[in-house]
Amino acid sequence: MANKVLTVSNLTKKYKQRTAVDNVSFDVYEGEIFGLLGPNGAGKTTIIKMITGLAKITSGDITICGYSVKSNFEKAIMNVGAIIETPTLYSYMSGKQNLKYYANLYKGISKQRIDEVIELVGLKDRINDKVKSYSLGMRQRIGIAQALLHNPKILILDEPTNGLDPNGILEMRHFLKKIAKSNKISILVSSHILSEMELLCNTVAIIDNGQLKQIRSIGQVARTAKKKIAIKVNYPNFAGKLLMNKFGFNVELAGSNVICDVEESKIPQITQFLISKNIPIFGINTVTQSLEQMFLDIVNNDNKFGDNL
Amino acid sequence: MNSFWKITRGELDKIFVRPAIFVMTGFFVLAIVVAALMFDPSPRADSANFANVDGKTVVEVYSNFDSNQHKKVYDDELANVLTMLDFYSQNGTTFINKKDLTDAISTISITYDDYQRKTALSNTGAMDSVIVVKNQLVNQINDLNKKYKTINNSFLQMFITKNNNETTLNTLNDLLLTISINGDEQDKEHHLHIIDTIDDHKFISNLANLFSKIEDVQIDEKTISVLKSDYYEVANTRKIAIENEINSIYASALTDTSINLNEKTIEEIKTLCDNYKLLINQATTIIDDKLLLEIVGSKNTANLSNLSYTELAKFNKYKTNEDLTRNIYYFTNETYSYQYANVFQSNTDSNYKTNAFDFMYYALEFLSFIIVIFCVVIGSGMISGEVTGGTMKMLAIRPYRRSKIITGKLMGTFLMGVIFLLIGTITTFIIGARMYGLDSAPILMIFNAESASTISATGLFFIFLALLLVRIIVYTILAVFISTAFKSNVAAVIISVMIYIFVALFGNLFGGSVVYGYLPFANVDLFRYLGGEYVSTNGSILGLDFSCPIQPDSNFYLSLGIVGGFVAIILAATYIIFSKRDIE
Repeated sequence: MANKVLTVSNLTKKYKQRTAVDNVSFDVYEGEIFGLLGPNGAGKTTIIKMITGLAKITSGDITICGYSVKSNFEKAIMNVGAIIETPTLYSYMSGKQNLKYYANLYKGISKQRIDEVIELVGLKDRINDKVKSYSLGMRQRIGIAQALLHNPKILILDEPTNGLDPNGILEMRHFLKKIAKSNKISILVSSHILSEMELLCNTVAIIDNGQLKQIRSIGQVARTAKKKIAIKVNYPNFAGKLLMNKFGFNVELAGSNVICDVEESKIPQITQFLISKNIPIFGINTVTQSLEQMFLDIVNNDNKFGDNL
Repeated sequence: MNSFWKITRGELDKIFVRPAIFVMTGFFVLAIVVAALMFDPSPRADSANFANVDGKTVVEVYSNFDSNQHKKVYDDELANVLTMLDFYSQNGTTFINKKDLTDAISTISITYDDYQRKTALSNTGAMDSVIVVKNQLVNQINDLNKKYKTINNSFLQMFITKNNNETTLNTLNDLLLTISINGDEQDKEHHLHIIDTIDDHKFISNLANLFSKIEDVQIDEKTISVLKSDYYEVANTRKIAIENEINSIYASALTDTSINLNEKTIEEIKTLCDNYKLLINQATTIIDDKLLLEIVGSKNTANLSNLSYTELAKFNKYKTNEDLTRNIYYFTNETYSYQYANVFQSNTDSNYKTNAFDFMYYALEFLSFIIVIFCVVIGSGMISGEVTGGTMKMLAIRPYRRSKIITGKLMGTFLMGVIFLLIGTITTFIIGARMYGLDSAPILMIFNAESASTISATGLFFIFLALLLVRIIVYTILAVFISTAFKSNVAAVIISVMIYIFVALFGNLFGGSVVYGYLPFANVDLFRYLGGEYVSTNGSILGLDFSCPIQPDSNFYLSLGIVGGFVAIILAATYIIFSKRDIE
């Protein structure tokens, strides 16, 4: 049983007008890449800010490596390296000077360690330039560098791929996966980009309206992903209606495909029925529901075909 | 766990790398140069108090001294003081008796009413009773006059309030002056005159009103006798001793021409003449001030400002006490003002020759203004700047409680100020020492108007530096508080700088006002309480005058309390606000 690096219990954040985070609980284990997925304004950043002590907790608690953020902040946050929103360093200092500054806030970070981290993020040739001359990608990298200086047990990244080009996103993903494995560091990432979460994370928590809707491990998503049947016809509208009235399952349209929310085993029945109604069939496929689908399912409660007719 | 010193060290690292530091240092160096160029102190001016007897030979000096321009004047001064003391002790301890006067005027009022009634009723038959009452009235007014005359008029004036009672006082004086009890014929005329004058009943009630506003004046019998024995008698004895010394020098100069022409001897006799005058001055000032303090000192200063006697309205308890303490010290130790350096007048030599300290006080007064501006600018950006700039969220996720971040940043800003102060002190010291030398007489320090002690110029200078640090600390804390309270960095910096500049440039203008005088800003300058009240500044660079006059009822501990209380409150607010807030 792997160790819990981060435990969020019944975390709530209330402002005067609204509840931004409502009774959220989850755990992050050692070596895990954990995603917080949700639309903009869902409360992901607020959760992260409470974990890192930037925002005050209304109720609930957060434990990092056994230390409570509320009662033992200093010991808890020792284990955390974080980048909240865009990493902002002191623009009038060089990358190296910035790293030295942050390193001096901890005990026992040697010069070698600083150099190690610079090497790790690949900024060796620009490290002595002033941060104000850095591109966004470089700032991202120096951000990671400062977060890793003190060998934290968990790296917390809030929307790390914001503003990066596809290549940058790819690099970031590979990098994070690498250090999660080699440094045995847990990573908590928040994002609204579903495809990236799917490719990067081991576990995903779906957050919407301040509430935790579901936690799924990505393997699980693949396994328990609902399979649907996609049937290619000339008049999908008409066919869809017929099928719905006859069998009662949910039906969606996707181009010339009618997507039936039903298991494989029903395929013979469906085809027989359509043929009996003289509807030509051009193709039959099983479709695996992606994370995206699952996400949209959950977030948009109403997914019924019925409203589209 | 991690100590806030790490934060402080980080802050200093950041400060001394930021682009602004070059501007600041350059400006600071420029300021030192400006101070060095503009330093042009006035010479020490207290020699106006000396006898300053002319003379090119000892004999000349002696004869100038022993004349109506010098010795007689000083002797008269001392004699007058004795007369005054005797007068006070003769007239008993109470020499304005308010009750006597108010009783007298009520009696007159009653009699006058009676007189009017009888006059109204009168026809020839009632004339006698009218005359009887008239005589009564006159006698009572005579009595009042006698009582009134025993009052020292200047004292009466001291205690009359402003509302047009000066006219009443003058009329009363006139009226009472014209009354005489001699002769029947004169009586008739005078009587008519009196009655005509007081026919307006308001006149009596005005008088009654006037008398009711008089405050009783009492001087303790013991005080008078102590003043006589401890000060007058002693002064008298000492002046005779000085006189004997002068006489013996004169005697030897008469017989020996070389002595007569000897410059050192001429200097010696001139100094003795100065001492003669100064000694008498000390004694008379002590006696005057002690009396004033006894009579007036216990009364609330606010009430005094209503009084018409303008000298009294300007009475400043603190200043008078300080003067008194100083003169008592001189008198008791048989020393004179010229034996001490006076550093409390800016842009003026403290000694009879400019020394390094004169330059250092002058320059550092200006430089400290700049240093505090630096601390205020840096301090006011400490929190709001990092929050606005986005770097606070990189700092707040380090293993430090919020309170440690505040402490670390406060200390960092303060230490920056200290560093600049050190640079300024060392540089001005080197410049001053090279140009003027370090020679200085000791300084007579009067702490809190009550304790006098001598201290070396260096010693006092260290105290000065320490009190400058107090000013730096206070404004740093204020700036960081504003930085924490305001989200906008621009607002925080502007507000903080404006406050300080306003206080520095205009504070002295409002210093007289009681309301302003008790604000923390007016009490940050604690150096005044070391003996600076009796002098005012003589112009500093750019007219910057940081010092407010001391409030009459104030003292060092009160000022310290006001500043300390203010600092404690805003410090607590800073910690609480920052610890509780979300960082965007």
